Amino acid sequence: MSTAENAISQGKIYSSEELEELHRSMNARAKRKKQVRTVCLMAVNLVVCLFILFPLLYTVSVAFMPSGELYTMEMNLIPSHPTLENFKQAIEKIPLMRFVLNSFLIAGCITIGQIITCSFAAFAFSFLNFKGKNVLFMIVMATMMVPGEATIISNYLTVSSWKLLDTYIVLILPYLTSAMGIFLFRQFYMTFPISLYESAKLDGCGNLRFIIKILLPLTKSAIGAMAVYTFINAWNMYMWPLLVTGSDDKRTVQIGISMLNSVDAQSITQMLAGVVLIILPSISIFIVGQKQLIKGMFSGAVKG
Amino acid sequence: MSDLALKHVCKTFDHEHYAVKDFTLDIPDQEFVIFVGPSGCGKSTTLRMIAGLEEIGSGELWIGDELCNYVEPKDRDLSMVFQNYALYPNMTVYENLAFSLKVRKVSKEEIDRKVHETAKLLDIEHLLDRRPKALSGGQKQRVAIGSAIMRKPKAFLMDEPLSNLDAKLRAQMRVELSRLHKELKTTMIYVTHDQTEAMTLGTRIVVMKEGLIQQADTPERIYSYPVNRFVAGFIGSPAMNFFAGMVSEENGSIYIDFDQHFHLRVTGENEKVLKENYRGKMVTFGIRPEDLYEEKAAKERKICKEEYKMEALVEVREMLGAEAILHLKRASGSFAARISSEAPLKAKEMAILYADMEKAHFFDCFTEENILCKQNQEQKRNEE
Repeated sequence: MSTAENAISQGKIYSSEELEELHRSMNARAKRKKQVRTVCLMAVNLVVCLFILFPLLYTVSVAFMPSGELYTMEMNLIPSHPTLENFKQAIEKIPLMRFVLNSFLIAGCITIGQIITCSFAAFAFSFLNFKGKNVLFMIVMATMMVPGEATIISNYLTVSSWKLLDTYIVLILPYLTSAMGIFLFRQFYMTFPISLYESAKLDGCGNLRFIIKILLPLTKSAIGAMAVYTFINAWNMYMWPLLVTGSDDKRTVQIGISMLNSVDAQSITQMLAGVVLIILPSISIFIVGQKQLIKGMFSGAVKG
Repeated sequence: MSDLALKHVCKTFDHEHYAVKDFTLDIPDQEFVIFVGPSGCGKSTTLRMIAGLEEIGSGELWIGDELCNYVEPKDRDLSMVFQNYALYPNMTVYENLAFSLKVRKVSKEEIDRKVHETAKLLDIEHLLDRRPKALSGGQKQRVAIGSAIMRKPKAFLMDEPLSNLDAKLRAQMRVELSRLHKELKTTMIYVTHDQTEAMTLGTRIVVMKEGLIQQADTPERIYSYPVNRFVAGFIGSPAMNFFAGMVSEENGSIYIDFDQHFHLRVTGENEKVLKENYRGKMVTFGIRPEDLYEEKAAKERKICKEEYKMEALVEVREMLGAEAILHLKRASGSFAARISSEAPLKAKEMAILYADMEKAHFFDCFTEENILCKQNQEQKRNEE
C-alpha cells in the first residue's frame, strides 16, 4: 500500500502531492485491470473466430495446395508449395466464367425484381386501406411456411408446359417476389409517420410518385439489406437451376462447381479452387453491403 | 378562397361508435376557426374529413359551391400542417417548400420566386439548403407552415401544430400564426386541445365533446357566456369552480345556499331567472378563479360585502409572478382563486374572498345547461 493510500485508510487530510500520488497509483491500477480484460476478451474472440472460420480458411488453403500435398499422412493445414494450378485447371475444365456471368445476370434480375415487387406490395400493406388487408398479409406470410421442395415439382411442370425450360426466364421468374422481402419492407414502412404520406397526398402526389420520390430514397438501408440478402440467396440457388437447365450456357455457378466433382474429374483441390472463385462475388457483396444489411435487418427492432 | 360548410356530418367507427355526430358549421372566408376539446372528442377526425384523409360517413362538406364529399384530397385545394411537421427528410427545405408546386408542374422560375417569397415571410431564407434533421423544432414548424402556404390554398388545416414545441416557442409561434392569418387573409381551421391557443388565436371557437359541438362562438362569448357546464369548465385556466347549492329567497333577494354557513346572494340577470324557475331547487353555481377577490381588491370593486363572502382554508399557494393561484378547501368542496401576488394570503391559513356575483354562472343540475342560455333559447322558441 502506498503512503497516500495509507493516509486514506487512516482518514487523514492530505496534501496536494499526496493527492497526486493517489491519483497516479489508482489510475495505473485501473489501466492495468482494463488492459487485462481487453486481452482476455480478444483471446476468446480470436479462438471463437478461428473455430468458426476454420472450414473457410481450410478451403482457401487447400485451393492453393498441390493435390499431392493433400493426400498424405501428415496434417497439412497450410500449403508448403502454394500453386495457382488448381484455379487454372478449374477454369479450363468447365466454362466457369460463363457460369459466373449467368449467375450474376440471374441474381441481379431477381434482386431488382424483388426490390420492386416487394416494396410495392409492402407499400400497399402499410399505407393503403382496403378490405381484407390483414387476411391477405397473413396469407402472404403463410407462404413462408411452405418449403421450396414441396412446390418444386409442380413449378417444374408449370414452366415446362409453358416451354420455358433451359432459359434465363425460367431461372428468374419464380423468384421475382418473396414473402420475406414484403415482410422486411413492411416492417420498415411501419416505422414511417403516416402523416408524411397524408401530407404528400394533400400536396397532390400520387402513390407511385410517393414511392419513388419519398419512400424509396428514405428506405435505402432496407433496400440495401434486401439486395444483399436476395443476391446471396439467388447466387447460392442450387435445386431449381439443376432441375430446369440442361445446357452449359444457361447453367449457374453452383451447378458448374458440382461438375468438377464428376467421376472422371475428381479432384478435391480443383473443386475447392472453384469454390473459392465463386464465393468471391458473394463475399465481396456482403462486405460492401454488411452495414446496410445489419441496419435494415434490425430496423424497427429497437427504435420506438 | 371560399366559404366552407359542414352539414350534419357524421363519422362512425366500427359502425356503432360515433367519432363525430351531426356536425353542422358554416365557416365564412378568412375566418380563423379553432376546434377545441379533450382527447377523443372528434376534432381531429373532423379536420381529417375536411382534408379528405378520412371518409365522411354521412352529411355534406361544401367548399365554395362544390360538394366535396367525394373529391380527392389533392383536388380540394386545401393544405395541412401536421403535429409532427411531416417534412420530407430526404429533401432540403427548398425542395420541401417547392414539392407541392413541382407536383403541379409549375415552372421553375415561378417556384423559385414563390419559395423565396415564402421563406422571407417566415424568416427561413437562411435555412433553404438545410435538411429537416438539421433544423430545430421551431424552424421545422416554420418550414411546415411554409409548405402549406406555398400553394395559396382555399383553406389551411392545422392539426395541433404547436404541441411539439416548448412553452416559450409555442407562445412565439402563436403570435406568428396570428400575424400570418392577417397577412394571408385565408380561412384557417385549427385543431388543438390547448384552450390558451384556442382563446388567443381564434376568431371563432368550436368546443367539442364526444363528437358533438357544444358551443361555436367568439372567444369572448365562449368565456363569458358558456352554454353548459362542460364549456365553462373546459375554457379558462385554472378551470371554473363549481359548487352544488339550493336556491332560496330571503326578503325578496335570491340566495344560493351551499351549507349552513355558506351562502351567496345572486345578482343580475341570474337572479331573475332563478327566482322564476329554480326557487327551492338545486343548481350548480360556477365562478371563475379570477372572479374571486381578496379584501383589498374587493373593496375597490365594491363587492366587499357579507353576502358575497367565501371563507376557506388555503391549501397551496402557487406563485406565478404578478399573480398567485390559491387552492382552497372548505366543507362544500375545493376551489381555486387567482389573486394578486401581493395579497397577504398564505398557505395553511384561513382566507376570506369575495365573489363577483355579476360574473357568476348557474347551471341546471340535470341538463348541465347554463340557465341563462336555456332561458334565452326557450324565449326564442316561444317567439318563433
